[in-house]
Amino acid sequence: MKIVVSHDEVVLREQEGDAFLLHVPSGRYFGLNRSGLVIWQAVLDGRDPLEALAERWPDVPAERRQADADALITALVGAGLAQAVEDRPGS
Amino acid sequence: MNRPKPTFWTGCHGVRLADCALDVGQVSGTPLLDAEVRIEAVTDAPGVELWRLDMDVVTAEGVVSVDQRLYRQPDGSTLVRSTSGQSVAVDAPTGRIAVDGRDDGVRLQLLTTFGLPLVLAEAPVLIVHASACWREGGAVLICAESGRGKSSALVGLTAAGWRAVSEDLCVIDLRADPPVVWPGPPWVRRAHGLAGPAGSAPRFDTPDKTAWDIAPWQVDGPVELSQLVFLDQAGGSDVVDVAVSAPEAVQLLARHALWLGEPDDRGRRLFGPAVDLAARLPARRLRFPVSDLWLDRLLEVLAPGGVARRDGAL
Repeated sequence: MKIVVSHDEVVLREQEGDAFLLHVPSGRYFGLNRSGLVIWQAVLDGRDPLEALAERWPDVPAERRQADADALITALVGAGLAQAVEDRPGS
Repeated sequence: MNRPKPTFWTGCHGVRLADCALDVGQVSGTPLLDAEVRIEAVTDAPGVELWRLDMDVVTAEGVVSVDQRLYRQPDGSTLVRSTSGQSVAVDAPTGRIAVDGRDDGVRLQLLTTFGLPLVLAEAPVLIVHASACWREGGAVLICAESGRGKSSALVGLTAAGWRAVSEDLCVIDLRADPPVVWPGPPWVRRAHGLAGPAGSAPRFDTPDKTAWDIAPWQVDGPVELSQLVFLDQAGGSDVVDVAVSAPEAVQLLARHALWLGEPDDRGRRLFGPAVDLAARLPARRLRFPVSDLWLDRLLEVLAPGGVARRDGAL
């Protein structure tokens, strides 16, 4: 399973240490905390969010990182900010 | 050390108006932009309808039908026209505003409610349905839906020694850090039968409201904002005073923001300014029980260090 973002539909803005997402089709706004921003940027870069979290917070237990990533990705997909797509050979 | 005297110019909401025959106040400070107002017949070339307000307003004299439409004209300028033929046309790039109304009251209302916000379309501002008052320490922006107490709050705070900044619409200038709010026109509009600040005189009437003079109580230039307040509809038995997170403040600011452009652009265009403001200022939600004493409670909550206890007793 791969998580993808439509760049035309979601706008990120960082301000004063906070991060915000705009879902353009609905006009809804969302906030991201620090770990959420790391996960979001990893998704944008096509990287594994777990690896990005491990680089940023190596001392945090792997189970906690996994739970954070799962929770955020579920929320992002639920809000229409990202889509889960099947990995295809060669893609 | 002697400070230079401020230079005052004609205008409000941060827009300096050249040769304006309408009295919209005098302020100082570096304007957001310059514009020119002419009172003249507005050429009828509606173009594409972007927005429409069609409603009945209940007044002491009966029901008044309001039908206002905003058009993008073929030349790119914008036009607001009511069914009674009153119009304001704005060419934002050149700063030209043409107003056509049956009297000065209507012209003033068209100019300040539509003309100035439209000419500010590309300015670094967020325009919000709110009232604002200032005291030493900064201005408070009180955002609320129509009829939920913006004007009453301004009158009540003014009576308690605050200075009025703007009622109904507030132009927040994002060039400054912290952001500043510009004085609006020197009046507060209240339903017929409700008074303005004690000692105030009426400036003009519209079918649903009287505009009361607030010039003696108004700040004379932009003032720093210190907090955002979102006023919920009165109800319940307790005072509710809760801090608002930055993401929620973004959402609330966008909801209260004035947007007179293409509907599809609303979310994207308001996002940056709303984030900019919400990330820099504390915000709270207030709800008061239905009571004649709600303004007293508001004053107590807004006093330095004032916080409403969650049990409802201030």
